[in-house]
Amino acid sequence: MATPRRVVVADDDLLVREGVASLLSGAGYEVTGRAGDATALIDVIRDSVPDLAVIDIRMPPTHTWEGLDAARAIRADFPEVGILLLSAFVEVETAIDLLQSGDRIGYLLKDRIMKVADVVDALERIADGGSVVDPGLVQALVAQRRRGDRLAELTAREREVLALMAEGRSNIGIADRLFITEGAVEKHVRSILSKLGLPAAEDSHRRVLAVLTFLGAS
Amino acid sequence: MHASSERLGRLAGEQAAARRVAGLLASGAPAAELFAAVVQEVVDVLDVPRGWMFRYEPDRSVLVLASLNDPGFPVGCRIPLDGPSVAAMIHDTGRPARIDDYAGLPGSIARRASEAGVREAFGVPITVDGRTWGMIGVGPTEERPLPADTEARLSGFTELVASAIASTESRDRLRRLADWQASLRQVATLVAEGAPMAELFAVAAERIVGVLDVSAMAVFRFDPNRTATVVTSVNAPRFPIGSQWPLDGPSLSAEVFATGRAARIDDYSELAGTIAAGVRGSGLGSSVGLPIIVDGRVWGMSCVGTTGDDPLPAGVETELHDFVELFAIAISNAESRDRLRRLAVQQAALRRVATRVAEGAAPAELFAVVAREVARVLDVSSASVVRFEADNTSVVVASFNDPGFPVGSRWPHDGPSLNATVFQTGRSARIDNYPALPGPVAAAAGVSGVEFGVGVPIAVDGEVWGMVAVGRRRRREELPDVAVSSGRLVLATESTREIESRLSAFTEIVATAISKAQTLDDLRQLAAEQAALRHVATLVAAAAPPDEIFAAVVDEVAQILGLEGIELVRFGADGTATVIGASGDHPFPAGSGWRLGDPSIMTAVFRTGEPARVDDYNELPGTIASAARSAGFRSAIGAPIVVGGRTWGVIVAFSSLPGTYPERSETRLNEFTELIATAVSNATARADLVASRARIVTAGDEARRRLERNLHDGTQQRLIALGLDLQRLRSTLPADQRAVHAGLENAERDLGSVLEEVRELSRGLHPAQLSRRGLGPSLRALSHKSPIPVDIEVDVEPRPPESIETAVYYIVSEAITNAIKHSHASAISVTVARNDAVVHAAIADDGIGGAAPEDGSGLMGLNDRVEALGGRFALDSPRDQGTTISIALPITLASGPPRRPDIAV
Repeated sequence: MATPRRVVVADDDLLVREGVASLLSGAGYEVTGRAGDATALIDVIRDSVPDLAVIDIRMPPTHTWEGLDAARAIRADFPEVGILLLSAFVEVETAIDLLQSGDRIGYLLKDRIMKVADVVDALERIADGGSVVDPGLVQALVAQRRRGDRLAELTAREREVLALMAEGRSNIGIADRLFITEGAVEKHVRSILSKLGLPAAEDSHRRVLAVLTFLGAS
Repeated sequence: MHASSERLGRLAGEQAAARRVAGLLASGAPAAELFAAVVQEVVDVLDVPRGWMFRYEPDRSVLVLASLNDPGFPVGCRIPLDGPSVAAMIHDTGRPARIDDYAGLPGSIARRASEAGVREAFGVPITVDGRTWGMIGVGPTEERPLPADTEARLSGFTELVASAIASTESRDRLRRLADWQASLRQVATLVAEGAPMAELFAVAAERIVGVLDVSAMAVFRFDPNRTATVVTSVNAPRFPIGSQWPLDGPSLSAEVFATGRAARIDDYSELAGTIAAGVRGSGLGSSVGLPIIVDGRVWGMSCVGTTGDDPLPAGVETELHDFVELFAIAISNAESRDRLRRLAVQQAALRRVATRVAEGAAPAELFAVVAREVARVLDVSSASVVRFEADNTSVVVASFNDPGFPVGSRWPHDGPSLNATVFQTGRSARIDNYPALPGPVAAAAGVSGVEFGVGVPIAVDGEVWGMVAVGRRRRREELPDVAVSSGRLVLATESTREIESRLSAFTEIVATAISKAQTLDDLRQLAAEQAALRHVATLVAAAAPPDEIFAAVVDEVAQILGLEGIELVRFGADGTATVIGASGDHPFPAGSGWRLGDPSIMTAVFRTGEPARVDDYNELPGTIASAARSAGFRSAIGAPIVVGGRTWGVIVAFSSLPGTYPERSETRLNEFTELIATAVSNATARADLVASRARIVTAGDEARRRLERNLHDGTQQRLIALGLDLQRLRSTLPADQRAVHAGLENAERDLGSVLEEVRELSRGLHPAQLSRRGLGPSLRALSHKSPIPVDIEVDVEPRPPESIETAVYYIVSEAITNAIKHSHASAISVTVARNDAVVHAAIADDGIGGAAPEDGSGLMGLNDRVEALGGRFALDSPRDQGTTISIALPITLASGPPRRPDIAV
């Protein structure tokens, strides 16, 4: 990286906060601020206007959804800041809510921060304009049993592609993952969208929303 | 650049210190060791010579938890906050504080500091759950001054200490809460099942000693003669069950008895009185007592005590309160049952007597039967029937277990006696203490062993013909130990008034038998009346809705008295009266409300609590009288309905003639009012029980919510921090140490699966998104995990209260789990809908059916939960045709039950 990306970290737990910050520093990011609650987070964002913010959903005072509300406020006032939300539970409604507020948003299960590669992958995709949805949530949604399930019409390969679409990966990203060509990915995507009755979306962000909405409406 | 790397180095040092403390914390090190370690790390990090940690005590003093390099403040020592000091300033402001020079300042801390050579001190608060729990302080010197950002650097440590304390405290609280709720639920179940009182008290006392922070527990019943009887006791050797104690003070019993409120005594060492001596003799100290209030009267007291020197914790009253409420409900229920039983016994006895009359038994035989039945029904030691003679004497015509008054004996009416009083006044009489009286009658009572007596006149054709008298031995003999095991000890002793009213039923039969001219007619009347009473009593015993019982009473009374105008009225708290039952077509229809105050039966009964009559409405002013006149009524009689010592309402019978009613109309009304009172008191007790069970369930849900939060904000965060540490450790390892790399990776993977388990565990405790997103999304998230497809349809706008959502969520979740485990279904469907007052939910599957609540499938638990919230549960599970569980939960009840709901009438 030529100039390190600038990140702020918000988590109410001192050890976790410092742990994440030191992990990101080690991975080449510049940690420009730390916050233990939503109010302090908005302050450090205003002070340093970073490229990215890593935010825990549960923070004081109520330990419920402060991080989510802070993310919305940041999106409104500092639209240039990419946001990665961490949460002990990932839920499809929250994912859809978040993605509806725009692109460059990520939503990961908090455990993932113990894998530095996954965090860096997510942060880089967000910084590059993409969206990130936790693969665990996507797996659960794809694996869910439904009555009259249209997913049953997909081939095994198409299911893999669908899951990667739902995680927010671009066609190139999917091609890299599955070791196939971008053209082959495009073909699969068209087939999937037509089998599921979804409109063709011009960008990957809209596509994530459409796919998640389909999977979430059980 | 240099400054920044120095800062980084320092930060790393602090991180390492914090991690060492966190490690101790996670390993469950003893508190003393943890506190000492924190102070050591603080002193090292700040590079100052001295450090302390204090905890604030309730009595405005501090307890030294840890102390480094300072003999003036030894660990374990308590110091009052009696002068200016850093500790006092933090205590009062909750903010960091500094003292530049202790020399010359007054107070204990300043004195010790000066003696130890401490001039300057700085401290920060340890804040736990919003309150200032304690402080960490440091003492710099001129050579080793405090760094500029001391406050910020200390805060990391105080945060850690606070989180350790908060998690320890909340763990303890949660465990205690869970035990307490399980115990309450067990006691509530016993109450609901109508378990014998002795068993109920014994179980409850054992559980209370087990779950509350107390050493001993006892329940006292207050008796009429200013004494208290122990009905249960645990670990209080000087207070065995059945022992009686005078209510002498100062004592909890005396105070609770006098005030009807909770009382607390923390120090018995100097107190006078037998109870205080008993408390000391039992090795007990600080004690708390709560009144047991049954139907508005102080029935007794439930108390707990501790053996230690410390006072009982402040919350004990609250924790004990819910048990005491259950006791009150149970006692009220038992008393209702007992009233019904006594009534049934009495009805049977009356029937036997009436049968003998109808068979034309000779008077002497009839009188003997009456004496025997009276003695049996009233639970008295002796009974006799007496005839008054013209020469101012009385003759005993029947005598049961009453050797002082043999049949045929004659007694003059010159000394104080029941005979003389009843004869002279024509009314019931009572003697409380025969041995204190002079004269031959009192002496004969002594021969019968009687100290207490009641006599009721036998009136034949308007003349006082004689009386029926009963006698009892002293009251303390009425409470033998055996009564405890039969469960009867807890019941209130029958009041004199009750004895009189029961006796009068017999004297009426005797009078009837004597008045030959009317015998046959009256017997028919009596039979009709008995049948009517039985009909109503059956409804009461079957717990029929109060409305139905009121309607039945009005109809039966109208028929028996042959009067068209009967009304049943309930008094309101605001000086109004509402008609809740009426027969015929008249100006007091059911549902109409009347303001009390105008002269009327209602007003008179409301004010006096006694029966009342109006001989002629033409002579009365006011709206009620004019309404009565307009309907053609001229006169009326009314009898009070007394519930729990309070005049609850009145039953009124109107006549179109001035001052004429069928004979004994008031007595007949009275018999019905007793049944109404029992019905009302039953219904209130049932409503109390429902509300109490609902509170227990709601509190349990709340505890699960807190436990979930604890797991999340404590355990999960700590595990993640640990994972980050492992990862950092691995990144610093040289790449050639493959085995160590692999070992660390394994540990990280294991940690990942532990985190997943914790996550699933906490999700099972409480769905985190329920309060924000409501039932629909939460139930759909649940269905994502199901191996059987689940269709979910939820339409509950506007959203019900959170307690209802939580209840529905658990019920649906349990039902789905049940279907997955047992049904072999291929699909499950869930529908949830609401109207104004009720949430309906149905969980249906297409599986093998044949589910029954008894088979341990969790259906029983579902049923219990729904019923505890006042809802309905239905199971439809024919074999091979799937299973459908339907529930309906009332929104109003479970969202906030009033503590004493009025029954709906």
